[in-house]
Amino acid sequence: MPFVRLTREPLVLADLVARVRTKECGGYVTFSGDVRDHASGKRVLALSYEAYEPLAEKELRRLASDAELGFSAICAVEHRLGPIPIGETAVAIAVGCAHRSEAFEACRWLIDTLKATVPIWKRETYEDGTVWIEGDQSIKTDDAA
Amino acid sequence: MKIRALFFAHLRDVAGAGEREFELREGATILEFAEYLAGADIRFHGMLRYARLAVNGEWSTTETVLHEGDEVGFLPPSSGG
Repeated sequence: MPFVRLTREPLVLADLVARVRTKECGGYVTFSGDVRDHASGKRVLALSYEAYEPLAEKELRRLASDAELGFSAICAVEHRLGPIPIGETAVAIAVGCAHRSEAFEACRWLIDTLKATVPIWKRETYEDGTVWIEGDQSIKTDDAA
Repeated sequence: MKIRALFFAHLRDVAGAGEREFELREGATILEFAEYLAGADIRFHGMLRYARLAVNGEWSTTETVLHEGDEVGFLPPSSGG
């Protein structure tokens, strides 16, 4: 069973690694998606995530379970919601496998699939306004991040 | 019948609230609901081309028949991670 969680608290990658560390695994890969100070050539002043939480959590669990089965992995995934300061972590993933190549593949697959499918949305505030990011679109909003 | 609709990201701005109640005819599908919304506000027009749909916390489709008390989510393309 993978560990998955949506939280409004800061993420600690080491805690996720501890959750997947077992004697069966010889390779661990982690991913930390942090909040950058720029996007699309603009300075990011604030950033916030919202989710359809019941479905986002189910979908995260489904993905992590698929990764565990498909790559013979042990997975832990957390996504932070609400406002996140620049430089702090928005998404953290830890994957353990018997060997490194499956661990790299599983981690890559998890973050790529999470970004495309889990119902979570990012709102970014720049010096000239705030946008919702939806897929590859940016849509202006008056609702500051 | 009463339906609760959830709107996310820019669709929340369009709806004016993240959560709204609607009165629909018994047996209406999500497609009919979306057409009704587009009739009420042009900015909902074409929403089904990009939004994913959920009913009561599970993925759904335009043909889904709605029932009293259902919670319908309109979910724009994701941008988590």
